[in-house]
Amino acid sequence: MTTHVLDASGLKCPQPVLKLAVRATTVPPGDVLEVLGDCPTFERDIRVWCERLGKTLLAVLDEGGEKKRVQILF
Amino acid sequence: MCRSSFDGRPGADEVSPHAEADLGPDLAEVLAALSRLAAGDPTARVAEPDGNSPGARLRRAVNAVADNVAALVDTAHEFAIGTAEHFSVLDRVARGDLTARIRGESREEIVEHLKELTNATIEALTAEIFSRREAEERLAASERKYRALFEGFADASFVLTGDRATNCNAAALRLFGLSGQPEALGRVPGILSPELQPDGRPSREKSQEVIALALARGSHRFEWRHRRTDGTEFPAEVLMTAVAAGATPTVHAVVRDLTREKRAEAERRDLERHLHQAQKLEALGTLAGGVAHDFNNLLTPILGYTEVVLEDLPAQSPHRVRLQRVVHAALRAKGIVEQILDFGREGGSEGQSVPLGEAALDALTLVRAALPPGITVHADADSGAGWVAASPTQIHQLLMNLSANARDALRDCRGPEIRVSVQAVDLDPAAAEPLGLVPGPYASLAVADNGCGIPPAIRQRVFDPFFTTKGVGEGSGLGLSVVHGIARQHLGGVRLESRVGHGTLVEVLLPRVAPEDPAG
Repeated sequence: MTTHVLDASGLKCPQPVLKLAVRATTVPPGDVLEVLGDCPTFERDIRVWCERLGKTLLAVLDEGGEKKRVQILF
Repeated sequence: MCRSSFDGRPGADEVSPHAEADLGPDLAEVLAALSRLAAGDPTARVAEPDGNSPGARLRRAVNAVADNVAALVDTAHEFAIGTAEHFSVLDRVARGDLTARIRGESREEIVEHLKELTNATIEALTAEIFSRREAEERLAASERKYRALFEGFADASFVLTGDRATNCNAAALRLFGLSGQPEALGRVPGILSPELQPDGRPSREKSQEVIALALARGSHRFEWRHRRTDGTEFPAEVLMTAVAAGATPTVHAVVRDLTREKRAEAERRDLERHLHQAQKLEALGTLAGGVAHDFNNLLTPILGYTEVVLEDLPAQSPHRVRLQRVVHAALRAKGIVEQILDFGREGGSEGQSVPLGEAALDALTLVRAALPPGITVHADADSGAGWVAASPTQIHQLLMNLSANARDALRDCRGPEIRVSVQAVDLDPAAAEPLGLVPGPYASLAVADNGCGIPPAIRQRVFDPFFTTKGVGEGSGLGLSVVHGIARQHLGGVRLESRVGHGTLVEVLLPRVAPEDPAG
């Protein structure tokens, strides 16, 4: 299992989720993708995306300030 | 990085506490809400008091702006999530996963329509792909069936497109000694044939004609001379059938090796010829027997009256010598007649038996006289060889026929020799079986020469009636077959040894029988 990282800090929603959509096509099943973001609706958008595409949201970690790190299992 | 200002200018949101205090509590709250909106938080709102004061109107205006921003952000999210899902699904389809579909529901009408359109497109694409796959599978199954039929065909089959072989089956590879398809394909029929056909015409030219005939008539059957890759040739029957397969003229050719049929036909013709000859000989024998009988009847009065006249003649009569010559000639004629009668007679040895050694030595005296003077004859007859159930005439005939063959084999030979030996032999099962004999006691009569020998190719045929290597009029081809016949008649057999350039030995083996009682 490999962990991949996508840094979407500084991008306003829904930019992070669009970046995630593109990056998701390269992550093999079984791997984890960590996405970093600091937009106020970042967490909500990630949750909706995971629900739509049947991915498992493993964790949402508060990194301080507005910044969050989400872990998605592919 | 998220900006905290609402106007986008660096430092613009840094309002001094003194200024905020100057602007009053309404403005401070409004500024805070606008800062949150600017940071991307569409939920920022301010309390809206009743009344129409400037502060209340400002608060309502800010909330109205916040509602619009929230609606815009919401729409942007709907499009973004829809786009992300489309992106993911189309990526899976592109990778071959035809089960991928857009599942999510959107409040945006166009996103919903796009979902239906995308899913319908994937459905249509999937149906088309499955339909093509099925067609391909049917085609492959048909191809396998055709290939199995073609390959399983016992006769050699070729597909000729134009004048080139484009396919052939395993039987064709075997028949022509080809190592595999690549070698066979592309070979024009002329190459698997000798340069010329039996009618003298070039194979290449003639093959064009037969293909054209098959195409014009639908099918064409003909005989053809073929050649294998090792250079050997064979007669074949070819059935060419025109095949409707595309624009290029194509024929299916089935090649059947006729070697066996041709050989059987030749053997049948040979047999017919032998039968004809045997019938002729039988008729000749009957005729000769009849003539000899009449002739014998005529000789009787000639001999009788001549002898009567001789008795009456005075001893000094000059006619006596002349009449004695008549008697001598008549006796010779009688001897010839006896031989002719023997020829027409069958068997004739029932109940007779002879000591083989003595009978052979007696016969050899006569046979030796008939041989050319240059041939040395050695005889080694063991008196203990035993008795055999045959007549002296038959022993004479055996020796005469074998000696005649030996004599012919010794032509142009330096130091020609014939060795005749008679001895007793006991055949064990291993020795008896190859000759088709019952193991036991036998008497052997062997005639060996140091002549030219018999080539292996014809060794099997020398006992066949009428088979001869001698010129027309020199041999009847009956010599060894008569020897074989006499041997079989007495439950015996014949063994042949020969080396080309060294000589031949023919040994007649006859079962030993009890000696006849001299008193009987």
